Amino acid sequence: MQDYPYFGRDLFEQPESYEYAQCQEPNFFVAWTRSRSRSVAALEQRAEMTDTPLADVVGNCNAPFVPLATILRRLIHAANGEGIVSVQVKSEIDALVMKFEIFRRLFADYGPGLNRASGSKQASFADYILFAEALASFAERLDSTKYLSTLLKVMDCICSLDPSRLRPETAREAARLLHRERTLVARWQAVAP
Amino acid sequence: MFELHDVGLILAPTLRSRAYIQMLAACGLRPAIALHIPGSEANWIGADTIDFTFESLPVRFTFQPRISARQTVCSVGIESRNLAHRDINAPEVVRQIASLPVKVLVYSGLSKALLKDELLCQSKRFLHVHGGFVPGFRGATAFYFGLLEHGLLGASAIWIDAGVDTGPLVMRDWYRPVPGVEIDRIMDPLARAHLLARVLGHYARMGRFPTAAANEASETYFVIHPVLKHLALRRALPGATKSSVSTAIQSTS
Repeated sequence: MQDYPYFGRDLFEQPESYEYAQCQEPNFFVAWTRSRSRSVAALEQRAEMTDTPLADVVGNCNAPFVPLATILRRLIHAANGEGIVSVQVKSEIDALVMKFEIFRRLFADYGPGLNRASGSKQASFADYILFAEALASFAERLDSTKYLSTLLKVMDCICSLDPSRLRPETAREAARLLHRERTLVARWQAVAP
Repeated sequence: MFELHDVGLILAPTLRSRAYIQMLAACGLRPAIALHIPGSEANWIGADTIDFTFESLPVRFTFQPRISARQTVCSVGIESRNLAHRDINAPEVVRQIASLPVKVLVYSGLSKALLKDELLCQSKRFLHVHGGFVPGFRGATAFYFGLLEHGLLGASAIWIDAGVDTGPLVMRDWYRPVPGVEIDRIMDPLARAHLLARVLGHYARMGRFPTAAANEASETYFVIHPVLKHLALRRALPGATKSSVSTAIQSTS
């Protein structure tokens, strides 16, 4: 059985480009599904623990800079709302997608125009989970393969970590998002025989 | 044979460039000049020939993936020159291109090699055929996203500007993939080659390039995740489309 090739190394430390991926073999999808199932089990186990070995990064929070988490919560709220997704909201999530897709990293604070604060620390794992939640929300709301593609990459990064590096509540959220990711992928699996 | 006196080609040692020049030759379209980007030729270990039928071609088109673009250029008698550098934006390359006696250059360059202002401000227009149905499918691997969502391969001829696949639209179409034929190196290049031949054929007959309007929302994509690419490829397998009994790549227009 083929192994899922994007598991087994820290993808935050060794970013993956995904170019010219060899993924046409029938077993590829099965390998991904099994890999994700193992990750869900490991993350749920981690979520049951009570220790907190690592403090999450806290942003600088100096005006006019805004913590990434605040931006992402606002975007999630907009994606889950009933109104039309505004051009402004779409451009903000697209800007974050572009940053992640090109640089494979986000930062803890951003200023006007989503320019990162000078000296800003890298985003925490909890921030990446929020980012994944935003992507899942936009993928669901807009039926978008673009956001789903980036969600899969973010979750590859999260799953590539030893679960002990995540706080229990972050691990719980990660496991929940993997279920959500699976549902989103199933929608496109249904149109591909 | 239609002589395209004011059209040139910029070709790379890739299967896409091979598809372009073989398709133009099959359609009887002969640009004035071909510029070759230096580099080692792409390797192909599949079949020697792959047959396609196109609605607009009276005969079956046989793609020969092993035949380099340089060989085909030579065999159809197009003037051939080598670019001085692999970097399309290198100053000596810009000078070479600026001195050419053509107005339009079809750009079939290396991936990720975007044309910079120094080239775009020359008195030439650069025609690019993007793998994706713009404006809804711009950016990297957009044709895979189109295949996943629609079961078809998009192709769009555009004039290059400073943005990513944002230039004025010339012509676009959806193509039905041939089940079992490799998408990356055969199917997508052939769809783009066919659209290019239609654009240049229009120019040869009418003396002007076509224009197309597009009112859909735009979306820019990044390299597709392999799980979605896997599902997209499954849509191109036998039995995946209603017309899979056909062995033809067909324009849907």
